[in-house]
Amino acid sequence: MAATAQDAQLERRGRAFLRATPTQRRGEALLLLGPCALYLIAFSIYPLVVSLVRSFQDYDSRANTWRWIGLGNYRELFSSNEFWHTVEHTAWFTFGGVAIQVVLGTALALFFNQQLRGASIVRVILILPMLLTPIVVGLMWRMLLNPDWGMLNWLAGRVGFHHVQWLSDPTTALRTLILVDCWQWTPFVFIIVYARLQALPQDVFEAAAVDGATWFERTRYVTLPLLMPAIVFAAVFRGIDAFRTFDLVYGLTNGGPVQSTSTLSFEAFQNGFEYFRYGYASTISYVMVIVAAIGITLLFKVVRVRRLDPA
Amino acid sequence: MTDSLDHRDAETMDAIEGMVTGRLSRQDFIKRAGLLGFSMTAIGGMLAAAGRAGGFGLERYAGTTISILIAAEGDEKGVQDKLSTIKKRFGIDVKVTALPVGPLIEKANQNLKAPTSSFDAIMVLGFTVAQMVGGGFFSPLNSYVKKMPASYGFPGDFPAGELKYVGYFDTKKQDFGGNTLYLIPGLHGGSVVVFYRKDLFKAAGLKAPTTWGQYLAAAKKLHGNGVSGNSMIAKSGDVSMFLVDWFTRFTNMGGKLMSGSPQAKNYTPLLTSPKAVAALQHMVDCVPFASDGVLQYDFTASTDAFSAGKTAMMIMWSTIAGPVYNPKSSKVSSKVAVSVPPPGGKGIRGGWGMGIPKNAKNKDAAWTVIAYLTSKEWEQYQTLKYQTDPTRKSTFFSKSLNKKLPYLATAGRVFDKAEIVQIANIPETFEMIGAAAEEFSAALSGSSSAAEACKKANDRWTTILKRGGHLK
Repeated sequence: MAATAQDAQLERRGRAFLRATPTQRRGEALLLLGPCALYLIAFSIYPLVVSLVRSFQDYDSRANTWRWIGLGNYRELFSSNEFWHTVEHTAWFTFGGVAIQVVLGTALALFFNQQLRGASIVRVILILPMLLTPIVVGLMWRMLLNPDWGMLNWLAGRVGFHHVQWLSDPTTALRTLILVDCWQWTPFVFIIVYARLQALPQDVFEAAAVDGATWFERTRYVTLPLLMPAIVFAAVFRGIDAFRTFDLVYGLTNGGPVQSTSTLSFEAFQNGFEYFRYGYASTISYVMVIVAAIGITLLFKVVRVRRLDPA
Repeated sequence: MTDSLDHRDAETMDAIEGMVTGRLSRQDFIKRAGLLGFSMTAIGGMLAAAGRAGGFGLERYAGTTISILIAAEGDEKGVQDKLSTIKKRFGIDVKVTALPVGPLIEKANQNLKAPTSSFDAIMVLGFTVAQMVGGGFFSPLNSYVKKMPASYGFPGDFPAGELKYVGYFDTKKQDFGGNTLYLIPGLHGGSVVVFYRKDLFKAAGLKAPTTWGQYLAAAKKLHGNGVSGNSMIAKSGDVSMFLVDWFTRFTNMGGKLMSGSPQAKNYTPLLTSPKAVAALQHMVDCVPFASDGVLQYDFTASTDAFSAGKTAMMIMWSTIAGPVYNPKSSKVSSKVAVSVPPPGGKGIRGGWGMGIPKNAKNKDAAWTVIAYLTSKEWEQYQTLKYQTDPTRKSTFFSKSLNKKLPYLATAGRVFDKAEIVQIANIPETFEMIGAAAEEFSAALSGSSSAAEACKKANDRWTTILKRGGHLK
């Protein structure tokens, strides 16, 4: 009886809704979507449009005026050697760093999947670096790498490598930066891949074992293909993050020595907030947005992610 | 009657002298100054400068609150200490915002360009004068300073070079100097001095270097036994590397940084000149006798190493002398001495000026506070208690202060002769200095020669100057 009354009430409500005029429905939709849309317009769309306009302008800090210069900033950017060096550093940092992180993270996930004793404690310790703020990581490693009193140089000295200029030599600074980034973010790849590994169906591994596949064959032909969606996700996520890295560079090397670790984000920051070249900084940011969009699209096209069908 | 000391007569002078010597009470002075036609602003300024101001008689400011933006470089401590004094004497509540250089510049720029500034007085770094004052964002102070009594010591107590740098600015020519005063030097100044360990020098039979050859020889001789022969700011891109270490060598070698002028659009860098290369080469030659980590040394790291007793000698901003001479923060406080940079005793002109934004709300009250914070009274208090570098000659060469802070007179001699870095008159100063410091670091790390580094820095400067319209 009660159910019948409830059904009737619901039916009445449904009919009332259906009776609502299109204007009323639009009103409701606006009311529901409005706050979210306003937020997006104010904090995403408006700044994006303004910075796009700024990328075609030049700011005069003395007169506090903006001057339209068309493609002037873009011309300057693409003809600047500094910019192309920065692109090169960013590419090395992104591709080199992420490749190492993916390989190491996946290897660690496979290793910890073997149900070793004490693995749970090691796993927790392993993920601690990614809980730190990158600027703190930068400052911390700057101390560890200090040639006078840094612990790493002390250790290197014990094994015969004296006075290693980790951050002062233009040829080693970028490698050091990548190393520190790997220290912090390999655990991220590890967690993603390890979580996926735990969720894989066991029957396929049992079938492979019955068929006489070795550990290497099982890993190569069964595990890795099944893990690929997780690996691609981790790589794309890390790639985007590494591409826009700023705080680690700021904390660890400040773009030096001799701009050998200057990345696109750092270049944008320096021009915008140190030299007050807001227009030029906006141009660098827009180039970054375009490169990131193209890069991600290509990556998803090249790396084919297969949907897992448990059936 | 005009409010000008140009028209002062015997009666005026008598009143001022009476107030300064204590013969007249503050109330009597205010009454007599009022009868002589001085405004309350002028009277407040006179009292502030003489350190004799009192709350009564200055009801004009009762209940007034002003906001000031100052550098968090030690000045804020002395200002905070004296807030109650300002309130008591002038009836003004002062809200203080103290920021490090970078954020301060950003904050100042935002406020100067807003319809109304949140700050009634702002401290301006010398290197940003061209940008901020040159942009026409500050009120002229000539009318205010004219009303100040002789005891305020303007302009005689300030080095002429400092007044040109962080005082007068010619907005038409866009250059330092001219006749319009926009800032009062303060709340601290500074140049560079050579810090050295007198115990190590004595033991090695050395005297403070008077030539760059002696400097290098001393570094070489003193290097070893856990002590670096010398130190420098060698971190890539660090502006102090250029300003402190390179420019001191360069200017004392007689180098000239630029030719032409931005106005004539022929402002040409001379970083490839023999003296520019020689200055950098001298730094390169000093690197082997510095700490292994010197290529990462910034201002703090270099100072800390010296204070820890790990360095025999360094050129450094004189404003760090206080902590180096302080036994609480330095292991070598009793072993340190200072000398002027060899051979000319010149250094970079540093320092700040304090002014009133054009869009400030409480200009007169702001002037009263500026007059107090740039007075002899406040500066001597600040210098003695917090050891920041002063700007006034009377503070640098005060006998009583030199007994307690023995570096002051030497720092004062360098400050008096200090030179404005020529490119400080264009807004791209920091970008250019940073670019040169990046290229110079390549020479210091051995990845390029001094001549190559200077050439690359020169090329980058040329690009920046062309972009800024200062060079065709």
